[in-house]
Amino acid sequence: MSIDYSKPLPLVEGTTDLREIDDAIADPMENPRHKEFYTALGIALFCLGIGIVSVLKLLLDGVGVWGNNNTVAWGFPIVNFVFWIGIGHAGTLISAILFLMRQNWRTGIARFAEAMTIFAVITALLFPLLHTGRPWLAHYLLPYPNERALWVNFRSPLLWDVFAVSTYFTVSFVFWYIGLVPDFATMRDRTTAKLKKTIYTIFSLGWRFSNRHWQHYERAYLILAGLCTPLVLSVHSIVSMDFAVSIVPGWHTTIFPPYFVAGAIFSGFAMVITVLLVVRRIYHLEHIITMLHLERMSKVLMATGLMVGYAYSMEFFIAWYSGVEFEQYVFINRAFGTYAWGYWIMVTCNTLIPQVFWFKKCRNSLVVLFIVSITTNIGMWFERFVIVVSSLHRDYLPSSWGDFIPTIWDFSLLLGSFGFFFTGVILFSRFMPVTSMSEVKAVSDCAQPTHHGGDHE
Amino acid sequence: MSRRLHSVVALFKSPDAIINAAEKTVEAGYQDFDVHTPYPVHGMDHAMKLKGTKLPYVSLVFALIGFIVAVLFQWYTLGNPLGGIGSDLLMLPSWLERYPFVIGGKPLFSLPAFVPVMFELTVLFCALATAASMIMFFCNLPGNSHPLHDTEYMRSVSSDHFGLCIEASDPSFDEASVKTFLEDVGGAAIQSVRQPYKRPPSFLSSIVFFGILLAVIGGVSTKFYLIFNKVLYMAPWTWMETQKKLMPQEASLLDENKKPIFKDGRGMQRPVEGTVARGFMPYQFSKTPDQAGRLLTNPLVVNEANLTRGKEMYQIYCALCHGDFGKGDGKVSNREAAKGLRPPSLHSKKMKGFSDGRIYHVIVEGQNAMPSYAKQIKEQDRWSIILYLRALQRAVDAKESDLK
Amino acid sequence: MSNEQIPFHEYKHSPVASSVGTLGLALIVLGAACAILTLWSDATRFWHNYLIMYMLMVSIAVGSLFYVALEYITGAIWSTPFRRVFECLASMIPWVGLLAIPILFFGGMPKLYHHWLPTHHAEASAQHGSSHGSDAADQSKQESHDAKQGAASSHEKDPIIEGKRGYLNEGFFLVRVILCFGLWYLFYYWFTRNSLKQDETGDQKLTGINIRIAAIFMLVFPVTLTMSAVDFMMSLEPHWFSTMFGVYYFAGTLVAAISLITIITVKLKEAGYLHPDIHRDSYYSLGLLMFAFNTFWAYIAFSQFMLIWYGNLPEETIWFAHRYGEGWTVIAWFLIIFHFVIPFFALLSRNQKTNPGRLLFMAKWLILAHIFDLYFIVMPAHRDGGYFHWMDVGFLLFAAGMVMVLFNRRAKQISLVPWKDPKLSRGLEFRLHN
Repeated sequence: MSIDYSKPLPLVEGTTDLREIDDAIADPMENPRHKEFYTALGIALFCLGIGIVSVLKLLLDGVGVWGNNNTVAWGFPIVNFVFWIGIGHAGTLISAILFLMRQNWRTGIARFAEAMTIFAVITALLFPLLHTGRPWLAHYLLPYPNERALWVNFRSPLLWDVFAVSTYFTVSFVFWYIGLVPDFATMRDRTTAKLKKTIYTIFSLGWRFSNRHWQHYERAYLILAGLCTPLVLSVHSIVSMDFAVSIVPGWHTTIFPPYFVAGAIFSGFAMVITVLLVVRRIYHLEHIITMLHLERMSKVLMATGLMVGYAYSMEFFIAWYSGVEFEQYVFINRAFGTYAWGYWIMVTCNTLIPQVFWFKKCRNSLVVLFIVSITTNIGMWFERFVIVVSSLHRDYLPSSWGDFIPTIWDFSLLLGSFGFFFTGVILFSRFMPVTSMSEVKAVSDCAQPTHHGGDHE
Repeated sequence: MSRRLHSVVALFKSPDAIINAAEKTVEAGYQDFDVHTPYPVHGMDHAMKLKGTKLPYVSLVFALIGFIVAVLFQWYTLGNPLGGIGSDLLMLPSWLERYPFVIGGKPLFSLPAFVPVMFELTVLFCALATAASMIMFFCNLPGNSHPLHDTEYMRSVSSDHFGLCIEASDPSFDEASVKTFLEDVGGAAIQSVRQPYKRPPSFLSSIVFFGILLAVIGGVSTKFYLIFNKVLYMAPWTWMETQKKLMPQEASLLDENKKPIFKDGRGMQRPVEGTVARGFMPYQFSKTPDQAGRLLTNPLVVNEANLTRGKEMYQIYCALCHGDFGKGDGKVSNREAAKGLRPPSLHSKKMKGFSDGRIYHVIVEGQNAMPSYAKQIKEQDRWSIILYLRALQRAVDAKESDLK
Repeated sequence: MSNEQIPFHEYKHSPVASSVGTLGLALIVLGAACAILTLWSDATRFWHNYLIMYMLMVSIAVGSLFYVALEYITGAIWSTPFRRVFECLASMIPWVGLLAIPILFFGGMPKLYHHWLPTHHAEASAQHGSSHGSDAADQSKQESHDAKQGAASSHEKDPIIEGKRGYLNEGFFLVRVILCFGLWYLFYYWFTRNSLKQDETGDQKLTGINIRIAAIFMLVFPVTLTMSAVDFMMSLEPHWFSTMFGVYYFAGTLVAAISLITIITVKLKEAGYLHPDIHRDSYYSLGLLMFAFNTFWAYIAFSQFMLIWYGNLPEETIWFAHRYGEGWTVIAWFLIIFHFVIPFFALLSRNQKTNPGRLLFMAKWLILAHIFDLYFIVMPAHRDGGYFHWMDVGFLLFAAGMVMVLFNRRAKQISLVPWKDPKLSRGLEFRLHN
């Protein structure tokens, strides 16, 4: 062990020159790599195109083109919705929760993760809109006075979702934007191109880097981070309550809220790792998004994976302990029934495979990181699939039993959602600073005065 | 030249230097000065002797407002028993009407169910207020016409230098002495910054800003309005309205090839053989009255409620033929037309010998001229009628001991 | 900045140490006397109070060990200067294990777990009939409670309980208790042995080893803590179940442990027994953790409640019905206000979190709140009606005395400052900026 615990670990490698940090981060915007950019964008747009075709088919022929049927009325759309909201949570965790815990290593990855949150939430919102089959009645979800004398059902978790996800989106967006203001100001002062300068000027709000402003800024940032933390816990808890308030066996367990939150962070971190591995390579940001960041993220991945494993065991144990035959059947059916293959993929990918991160070599290997992050996402998608489908297709009354067979349109819409997400992320990385300049500069070596308690971790 | 002096600025290279400079500036008595750093420098607030920010109070107030709004809104729309369509209590316009429906068996003011929305609105109000007040109120942004914009100073400070700016509005300001002071504390690139040529009047920028704010709010609202009221009612969204579906009474010919989906060509199908409607279980002892008599037992307890119910049901269904006291002299039985169809007395030995289950069988399947009453009388009520019948039998043939 | 020995008050020979020890002993004696009086008058109530005290001690001891592990695994530095406080509290683990013995072997089981114990049914039902409360109203409350619990069914075999027999049997129960304490003690031993060794050698490798031990502990801890909670508290009403129960107890444990740690740290620091360079800013993290974990507790408690309320399944709601109707309503509301609402606002601002007086007050408040929480979990299984008797305080006195005596004992054996811990200097430099 060559770690010296009496010294903080370096967060930016190589350089302590602030201007070099600026240059490195602004580089993708000022010197775009057209080849890589257009290739990546092309692939994303292709997937998005498939998604658009899928949506058009859906609108033309109705929800029947999916595999949803009378018993398994919630199929891929809900699974995808929960999946994408979950991915969004990593962004807020990295931004807000690690900020509150004073984990300075978040600075290299926070901005990117927040952007991923925003695009993930937008992607997720497409599914509720489409799967109701009556998109023109979407306004029924909003509580506004109307001449029908109708109000929304505040007692329904589906409505809590509306409030939770829209609040989450709004607050994340505000938090992200506030973080971007100083960087837009830096960009404003760097560029000479007239149009870019105008745009940056408007969006930077005239930020002057005045310390009197920084004082308010820092407090606002702290408050927003403090708000985002319970918000992210609440959003996925409320999403989990879509299932847990019902009495369907396999859904009605009290541990769902923290279990879903842990699972969301788990899948979100995996997605962040996947995307960051690509981004840091393409944009040559290896000295800002360092192995330290990746190793820490893999540890968080393992920790949340183990929390998910704990939840699996508790569910299983209590299903037996409760003596409720329906619960017991659900768990046996999950492991050995029609969708057993999905269950075993889920268990393997979520609990077994991340255990490789006990070994330092694996934590520091880019290949292993990439593979495990992808299998984790697969596993987490299957977890939602198993929860939704296996509980619905065999619930209390045998007369209600029915199988769910996904159709090509289900899969194509899933692919399209990935396309939509990655298009947004790729465009973001081209036109906005991928990492927060001011935050990274603030935690680089010698960035803070020496006699006032240096850095903190 | 003819532009007024705004301030004198200096640059520093290290955080220690700028902290030192800030402390010295405060010591020297300057009040209208500012420090510019590319990122927040620890300890600067203390060095500049800044008072704490009041932002948290604004956040707290708006959080409480959000909480109260959530509680009141939910209480008004769903959680109170007044109002609702057709209520005479309050003649409210329809768009202010409330919607107090019991959903899921939960009480009207279902506090546990209201908590998530209360939480979300608290957070939303707090976050928006924090961000908005920070920008607009505490930092007085946006403001793009500040003299420091577009200067070399700003370009350095936004990247890798730290800056100190002493403004001309300070009471002890004197250009020369300030410049000397800045040199003494170690500043470099000391410059005078002048007000820009064209300075729009200050209220104009506020107007512009509020104009932009209104435009944003208006834009977002318009966007929502357009989407929900116009866009979603246009193609391709409305394609979903016209779908292939089977209406009642239609033939099942959805297929383009005109092949019916169901063999019999119908759209509507009968329930599967052996389906049992909810609330009705098939009668196990059909055509086996003796088994019914042996195996069925009266599940009801003899109490006032059951007997009263039994009496009610008896009066409704049985008394017309069997008579009020079960003697077979009901109104229908007394008619000329029913001459040969009078029911026997229910107090005969045979009847008293019938077990409860045997009587139940008669109610369900009928006997001789009596048709089945299974469809009219629910299961529980059949048993309560039998209880009442027993009471009648005992009353008609009362013993001395019964009077006690 | 080197870690030279700065002169300060050594805890070992200080007058505070001896007075704490004496006071603790006095509280133990007084508490034990009250407890024994309770045992003579109402054995069942004695055992329920004892269980509350036992679960409180487990919370504190194992929770402190958790915080030791948490510091290592997250690489936190702010807590390093006073980590010995955590370790001293964790040293109570073997003694808390001894506390379990009366429950297991000296009559606790039949009084607490008669609903599922196979051999004691007849005995238990007889005891139900003859248990004499201090007044007739008591006894009728007890009987009406039992009637509702279906004590009569304890005469026949209950198919639901038989289904759980594989888990709820005395033998396995005992095995689990031994396993939990064995593992906890093992990890405590490993952590502290390395930590103390580092006092002599200053070897950085020891920190690395402890980090790995902490990682493994984090696997062991949730399982063992859940087992304790399920075994001792959830099985009081064996027809009821909740997957969240382990997490619920865990949340309460976090709150109780950090509160007690805060009390001891603040008191010792202000009296000069910890490293003199600890700045008040370090208190901020203690206050933050109290606030955050208390809010987490509220979130968990609410989730558990709301989901059961919403589903409205009688087999699940019965637990809350016992704790809301039948005289417990006021206490339920009191718990919400006392355990969540007031501490939330009292610890919200940064100033409140760095003010030692406020921290001490809220820390004591939160420990009481946790005791109240345990009371709310355990007591309604025993009887209807919010039920406080002045003699219940005796158990709390006993617990307080036990903590004092054991902490004192350990603190006199070791150094309260980890002088050669490599993270110490960074921990002392910790400041809240601005």
